[in-house]
Amino acid sequence: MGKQLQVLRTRGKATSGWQQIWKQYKKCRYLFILLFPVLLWYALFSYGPLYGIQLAFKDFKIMEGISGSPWVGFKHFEMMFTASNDFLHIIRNTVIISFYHIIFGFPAPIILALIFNELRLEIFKKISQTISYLPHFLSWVVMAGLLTAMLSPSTGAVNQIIQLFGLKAIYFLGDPDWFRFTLVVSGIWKEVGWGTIIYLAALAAIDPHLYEAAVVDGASRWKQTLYITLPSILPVVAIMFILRIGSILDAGFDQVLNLYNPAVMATGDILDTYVYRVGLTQMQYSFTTAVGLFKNVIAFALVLGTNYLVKRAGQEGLL
Amino acid sequence: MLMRMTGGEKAFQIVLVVFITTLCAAMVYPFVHMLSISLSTPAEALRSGFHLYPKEASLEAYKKVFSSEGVWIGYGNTIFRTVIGTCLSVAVMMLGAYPLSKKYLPHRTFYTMFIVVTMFFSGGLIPTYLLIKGIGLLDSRWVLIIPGLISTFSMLIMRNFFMSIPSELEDSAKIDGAHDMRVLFSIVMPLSKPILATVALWTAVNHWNAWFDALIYIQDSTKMVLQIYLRRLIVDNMNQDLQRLMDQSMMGVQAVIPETVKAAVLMVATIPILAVYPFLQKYFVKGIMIGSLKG
Amino acid sequence: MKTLRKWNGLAVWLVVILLIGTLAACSKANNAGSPSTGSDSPTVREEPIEIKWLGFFPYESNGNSVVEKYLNEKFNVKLTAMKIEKNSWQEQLNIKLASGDIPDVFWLWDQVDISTFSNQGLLAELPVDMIKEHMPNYAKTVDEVDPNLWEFGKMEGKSYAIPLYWSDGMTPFLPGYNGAWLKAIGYEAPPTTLEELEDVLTKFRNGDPDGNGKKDTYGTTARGKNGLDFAFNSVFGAFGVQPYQWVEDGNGKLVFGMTTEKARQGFKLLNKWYDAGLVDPEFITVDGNRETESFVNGRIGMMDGGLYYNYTAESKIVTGLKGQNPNNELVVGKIVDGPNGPGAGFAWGSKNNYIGMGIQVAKDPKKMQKIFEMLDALATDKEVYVMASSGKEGVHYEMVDGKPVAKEEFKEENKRAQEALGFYSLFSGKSLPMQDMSKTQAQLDFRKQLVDGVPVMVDKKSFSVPAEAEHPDLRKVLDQYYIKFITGEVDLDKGFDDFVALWKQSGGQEITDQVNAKFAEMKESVK
Repeated sequence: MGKQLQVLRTRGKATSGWQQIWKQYKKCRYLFILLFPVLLWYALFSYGPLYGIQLAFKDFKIMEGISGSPWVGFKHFEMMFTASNDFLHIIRNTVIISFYHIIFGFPAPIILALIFNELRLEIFKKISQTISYLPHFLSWVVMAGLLTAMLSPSTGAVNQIIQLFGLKAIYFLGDPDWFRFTLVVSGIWKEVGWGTIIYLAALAAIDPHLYEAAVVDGASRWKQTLYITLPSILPVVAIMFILRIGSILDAGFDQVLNLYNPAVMATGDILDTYVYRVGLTQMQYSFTTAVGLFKNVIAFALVLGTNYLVKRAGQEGLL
Repeated sequence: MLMRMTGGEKAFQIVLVVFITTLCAAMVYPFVHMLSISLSTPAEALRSGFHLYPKEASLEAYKKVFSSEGVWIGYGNTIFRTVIGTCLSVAVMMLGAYPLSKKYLPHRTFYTMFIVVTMFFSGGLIPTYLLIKGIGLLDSRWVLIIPGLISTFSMLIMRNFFMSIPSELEDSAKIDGAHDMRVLFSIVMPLSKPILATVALWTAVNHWNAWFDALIYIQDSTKMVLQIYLRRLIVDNMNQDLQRLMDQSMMGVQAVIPETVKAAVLMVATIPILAVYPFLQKYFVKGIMIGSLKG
Repeated sequence: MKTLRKWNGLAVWLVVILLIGTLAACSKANNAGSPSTGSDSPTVREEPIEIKWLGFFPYESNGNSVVEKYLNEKFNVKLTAMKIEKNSWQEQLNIKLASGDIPDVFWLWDQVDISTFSNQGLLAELPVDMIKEHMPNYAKTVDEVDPNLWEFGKMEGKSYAIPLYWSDGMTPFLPGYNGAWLKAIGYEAPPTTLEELEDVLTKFRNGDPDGNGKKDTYGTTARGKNGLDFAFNSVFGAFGVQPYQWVEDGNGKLVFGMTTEKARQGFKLLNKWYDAGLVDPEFITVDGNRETESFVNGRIGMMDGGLYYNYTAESKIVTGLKGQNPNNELVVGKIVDGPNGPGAGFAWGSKNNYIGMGIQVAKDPKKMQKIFEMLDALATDKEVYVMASSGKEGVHYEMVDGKPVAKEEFKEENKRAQEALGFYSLFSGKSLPMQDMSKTQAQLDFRKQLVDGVPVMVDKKSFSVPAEAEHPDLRKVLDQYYIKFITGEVDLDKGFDDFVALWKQSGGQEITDQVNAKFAEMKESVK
């Protein structure tokens, strides 16, 4: 519709650029009535405090305030890199763990949602859905104790089952070779149910007529899923994926902090736990600001990149 | 219904049911465990092994939690922020997502970028606090609602959802003379019930569990939220960085907090919000779009 | 028609905005009565001095509690509380400070706090002589406990804080044994030497002490997940060094425990025990809760349970043990002697928290004087101490055997917060003269019986040095190697040597040098 307006205007009399723009805005005035207050909110609450970002390059002196604090350039970033001999290793852990979380944890709720969708018994469906949300509400502080008990090589239920199959017990939380696996699986277990909600919403919005037509055409259940269901939820999947990439450097601080121990730090220590430990001895507000900025710049770049790829693939993206 | 399934389909259903049941057993156990502990006597709580139900039951822990000063005030304030906050948030986000979903919105990319950038870059706690102090929102119940009114993530999801609604529906309404606002309310909104319900659920849960904002922005005890009161009851568990110092300075001055109380607190904090979901379940029903496409 | 619809959308927004605006304005109006100079005090000689108080107990009183009325009247002050929850303390405090809200009475957790805030120029200087002059009663007790304490409140030679101490800090960690198991393996009394301890643990592991026919018991465990500071402290105590403490090397210098020969010996023994199954292999994922559970549920027979108050009849450990078997007893063990001579018990040291004053107080000598006065009274005046920590007799507590015992309803956290109980009592349990107010005679006797005459070992380095800030994650290296030494992943001959070299090179040497410089300085100044 915008294009049509353009074409109309370039015919005939020449109108100034500003007048063109004004006309477009006027045409969409109701949209702007709706949008404007939202933009105002952002201007106030998101952009208002944004000047605080400069603290990443300053040494915060509380008495001088943010503006008065002295500039220190990239000192904090250097600190982040050099305060530990292990820094690169830590970044590697963070990326690997995050990667696993995405590869396995992103599709999991989609698959589970599709499975829920296939269940015929309504009451069973409702109950199992509600149960699947429960783990989301338990904090890692609470879960850590339970998991340690359940995954104990000697008394834990999981290992007892493993041993029934004749395999050796695994020290899930104490063996650095198994720690990442444990993080990913327990993470999925905790969030997969809650994560299905958005996909169930997308599935609910699919026109049943499409299925009816497919059945008439003789399509099997599997074909229906492939040609109707999946394409229909693809837009939601796409946007969720792009946004998910944005948290690639997070890797689950709460979870790792509560589950890790010195024996598994080699594979389990992530950026956020490292920063947390440094913060304990230091109490440096600007340092954490700097690390946050570091993470966010990378996240932003990755999201823009993913957005581009997704749009190339024909889906609606972020921008 | 079962009669209409073929043998193959029945088998498939059984496989699914078995799978889901196993999954649910694994997922429900920790919750059942905590529930059992919350209803146990302290000695029973320390017993090793599975806790599916308390072998020695006691309501002591719950009595302690509910008789705790402030828990009811906390409930009131939390319910207020959850209900009002969620309604306002969903409304505002919808009003923001709709215009952004229109490709013909002038400078659309700019406005979208304007919003997306804030998801990645923020000024931090201190400037935000100063801003809120400056506006005069400190120590007001609205400070728990307004600064967090819009979740960019949710709004973008909403926007993309709107974008996937077939334009024929809106175009036909426009031909009938409706303008954008009317289209939004009469056509888009009813079709978006699932996504609105999803966002409402997300927002409600966030409000219910939030505590940090109340901690820094509110001094007045009558406005304190539930989570703050509850956290106080289980303080020795929470404080990892000050743990050592707490070991040192809290020498027997405070009684040790029994596991049963920690579990009861968890239940009291979680069960109410879980009860919200069943009410929203009806919006996730298939077939919202029935009859919308005419001719 | 069209206009009607246009107003439709605007109307929606108007309503929303009006709603928000009205309610925000209403609450703003409610807040218009911001705290101003107290005009409600009775006509006294002077205006009451306003004091902003940062304590660490929860506070929900809004200023009207019995405790506050008492304190306000007695000292002619107007107290306002700065509410900061223990949870996420640093973040909250940073925010308040950055917005210009600096407390007059400034609670400081440790030297990191003192260093950070003095560097930020937020603390008033409080020279030791001034403290001694204006808080004579309390200052005397500090000297009684340990004159070195004054040093800890200093940063670069300037004193910024009043040091607190805690009497329990000089008591040792003691091991605890499953009484029934000890008897079952033939020990009438707990072991006192390393050989005996090894024998006990071996029998706990192999002798089926719980008599259930299964080899499912271990000797001991440790808090491998988050308590390595004091893990296996009985064993290390026997060798004469605690890995995370700094000890004197015999030449007047300090050296880091984990890099010493004695530590190597200790690790060797522990590694031997680990291989023999005496140490629970799952100690790696054990935290405080799990340690107690392991002991109480009969997985281990001995635990390095910590300070004496963890062994009282009401403690989690004892009630748990008795809950499983009412006939069982917790036997508190003895310090174990080792090959290097008599052992000693791990102790935190009497060093505790600190009280500073906000920088603005430096410009207000009357306020400073008043604060000193209040603090001295809170620490040493029985009436004030009890009021601040327990409240009013008959209302909040009853006197039982000369010690205030809170009434049932006031035992609860949030209720106490509402009455501001404890918030102003910064010396609660930390004042020598007030000991019998916070501990019953029975508790004091119990303590005496367990710890009297027991040698303790305390970290000799109780200050921080700049090099530590430059290598803030050195601890991670230590923790990782600690575990590896015990499990045997790193050997204790060349491996241990390599570790020491690595530590030194990663900042350890630098830290050691600075520590010794400061240590020498301190010894000079206390002379």
